[in-house]
Amino acid sequence: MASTRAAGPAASARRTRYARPQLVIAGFTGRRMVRTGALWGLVFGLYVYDNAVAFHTIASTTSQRDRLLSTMAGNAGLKALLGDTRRITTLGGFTDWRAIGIISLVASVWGLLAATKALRGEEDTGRWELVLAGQTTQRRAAAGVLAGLAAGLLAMYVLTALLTVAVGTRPGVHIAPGQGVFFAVAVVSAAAMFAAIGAVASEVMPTRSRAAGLSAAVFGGAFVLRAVGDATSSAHWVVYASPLGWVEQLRPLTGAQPLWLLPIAGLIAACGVATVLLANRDLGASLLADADTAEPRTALLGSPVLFAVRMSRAVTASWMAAVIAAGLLYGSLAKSTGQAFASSGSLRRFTGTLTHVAERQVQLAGTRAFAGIIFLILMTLIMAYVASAMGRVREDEAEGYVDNLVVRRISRQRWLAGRTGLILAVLAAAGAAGGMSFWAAAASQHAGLTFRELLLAGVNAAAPAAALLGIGVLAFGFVPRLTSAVCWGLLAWAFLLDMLGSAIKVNHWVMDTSLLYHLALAPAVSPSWQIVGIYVAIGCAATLLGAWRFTQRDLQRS
Amino acid sequence: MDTTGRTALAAIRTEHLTKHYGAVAGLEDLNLEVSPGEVIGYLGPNGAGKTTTIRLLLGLIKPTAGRAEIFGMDAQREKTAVHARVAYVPGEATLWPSLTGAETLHLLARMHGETDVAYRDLLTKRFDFDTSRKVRTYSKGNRQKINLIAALSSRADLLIFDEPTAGLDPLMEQAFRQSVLEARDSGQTVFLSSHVLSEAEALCDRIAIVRAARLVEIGTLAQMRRLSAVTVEASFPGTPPAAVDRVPGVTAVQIAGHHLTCQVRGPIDGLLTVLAAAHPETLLSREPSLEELFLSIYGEPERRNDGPRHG
Repeated sequence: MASTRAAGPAASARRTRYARPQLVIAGFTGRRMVRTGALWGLVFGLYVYDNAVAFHTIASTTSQRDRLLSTMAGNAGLKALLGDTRRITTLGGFTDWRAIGIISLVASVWGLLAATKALRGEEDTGRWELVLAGQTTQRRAAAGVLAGLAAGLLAMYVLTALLTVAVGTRPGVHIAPGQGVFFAVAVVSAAAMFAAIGAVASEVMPTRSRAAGLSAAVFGGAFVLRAVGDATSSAHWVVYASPLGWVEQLRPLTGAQPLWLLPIAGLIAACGVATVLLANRDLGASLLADADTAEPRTALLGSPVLFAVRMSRAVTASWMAAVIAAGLLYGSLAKSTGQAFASSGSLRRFTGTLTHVAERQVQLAGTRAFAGIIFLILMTLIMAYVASAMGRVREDEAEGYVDNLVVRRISRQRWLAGRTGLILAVLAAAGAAGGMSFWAAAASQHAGLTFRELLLAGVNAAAPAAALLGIGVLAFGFVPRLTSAVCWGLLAWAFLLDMLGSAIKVNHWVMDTSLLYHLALAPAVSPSWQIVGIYVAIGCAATLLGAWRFTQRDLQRS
Repeated sequence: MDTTGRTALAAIRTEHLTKHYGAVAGLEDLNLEVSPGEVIGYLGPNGAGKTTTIRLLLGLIKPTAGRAEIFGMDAQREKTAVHARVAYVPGEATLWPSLTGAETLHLLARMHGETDVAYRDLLTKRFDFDTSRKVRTYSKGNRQKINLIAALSSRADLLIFDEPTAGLDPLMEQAFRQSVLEARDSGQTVFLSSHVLSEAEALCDRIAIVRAARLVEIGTLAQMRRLSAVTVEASFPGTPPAAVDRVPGVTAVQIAGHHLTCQVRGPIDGLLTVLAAAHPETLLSREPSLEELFLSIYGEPERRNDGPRHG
């Protein structure tokens, strides 16, 4: 029997052909990375400017400044916090120490998060499958993502270099263009190393969260090695075992040591090659494979709150471990640093330039002042946890997980109350754990700080995070797609104002918008429970309003 | 009152249910009533408003106008009570990749509040489903089996399926059909949104067809067929009669050699008179399949503001 087939439309004689389809992945990844890389480059450049201003305002006279900075140069606690110093009485030495110490950490975290999101994160969502169905292979696709990341790093480098060179031309600054350019290399090398480590972790671990966890563990280890090496003369050699130590050794503004670029480049190259080689695997597989089958474990599946605990326990444990580790590390340095603070009035004033909050509030010398600075870092860590957790709440809605629960007997109120309550419990626990771990380490050194004051300082440190949680829920209720941006934006804004406010005259109305500005820097000064109450009240009111709106609006998938 | 003592309220009732996304109409003025124990098919092309209807019934989105009731309860104001009597299978559910199949079934059962464990075990066997694997290792079809088993084993009064057999192989589609028929036999109501017309044809008591956010057709398949054109095929020793296309109600006349095919809506006697005059060798008439009905509706010019055609 003859069969007939309907003829389709004739193939067009003028088909559009795209050149180099294998470059699409690099271009697509690069487009996103360039945006964020350039943004961070801008922030880093502003921070260099802040340092240049701070150097001249840190003391009234040059001799006072020299005495102050010389005292700082020998302080173990500050070395552990920001790194070792060289020619600190010069603007270059001051900027090397203070800017590289902080910027390299921020850039490293950006690098590892960006790489794990672009590689394993895309695979987790299933989009990678679509990508690999195109004119590419797994290895080429991975190489394309690495090229895209490199584009982001290049954008970060260009902005940082341009702004640093521009700051260097200002009167009294004296940073040569070559130094400014190499400074940007140092900053970006930290981001590049941890992006490369994140890329390898994405091939090694089966999920994005685990890849980010592994990269974060490497980062934490690198930080501890650098901090211990810088704080102790007997074990100074461990600095050279840390990628963050290599960045420190570059010393771009105080006699550049470009040879340290060799281990940095070696690590980046090795990780890049390893990523491309390991990429030749089954889709969804990983070097450290998770078991595909398991006996059912029904614990923590009985309610939305318990289920949220189960799904977030690894991430929460990591945050808590970071808080406790920071408390133990800096608590152990509290006594020696406190003695240096107590003996130097200039050093006490320096704390005012390290954070604007401290400038107003550090009246007590010694250990408490140092502890106050550490608890400010703890506040930032806890706020970062809240921002991250609220981002996951929104992701659960955007990806449809919430649909799965609220089409059953779980009301929206109950689901959101569970998630919010869990975040609140974790931030309170983190504040308390930070206080207790600092106390435990400080007590071992007989630093003289009481358990009660450090526990209360920990609770005090959790207050801005409670307000941020409320504002996050408010954003989730009214503008859900902006939840993550609002939370991280408020955190970055508070951090930036706190840093810039130390050197630049900022209008108090602007400073009032910072979540960190009003809080007492306990235990340097006693916590103001009235202020804490206002933070908590803001958090509660915003939470209730956001929760009400969430029950009224449409669920919004991405 | 039904045998359980509950008032036999409509399983689903919507009144002027409307949803706009900005300037775009997601659903327009839906008036629909589904009786308890009924299996209703809800058909329409992509973007016609099927999933919007379901999300409104479940209270996941709010209507721009109108209202929906499930067993007499307001779908917006009494969501949790409504959900206690509803089980839902989305077209593509997001499940937690780190849980195993067994853990996911346990979780979904706990969140629903009740499950028929023995029936769940039976369904697990029927769907040939390995519960020991982690969700991230499942194919799309296997992930869909989790949703189906969870929904069916809940024994909910109303089962809402949105493209439930997407990704299932033919054997599993049969298992699904068997399960839906069991649900109907046990008095459960089924709202089946589907693209698989043969599935709707085999399972549904009534069919509703939506197009461009509006309900355009609702009724039993038999009622729809009566309102629709009958296909007539005839062969002749000579040339088929050209006068056929002038007969009132006759459309889609196709002549190929000695064969003639046409469709006739309404009285058929005029057509028979013309055909008989040409002494046909064979004559065959048949009712349209659901697929033909569906295609004929979508081939018509868009009807607006004149309400659905009831079979």
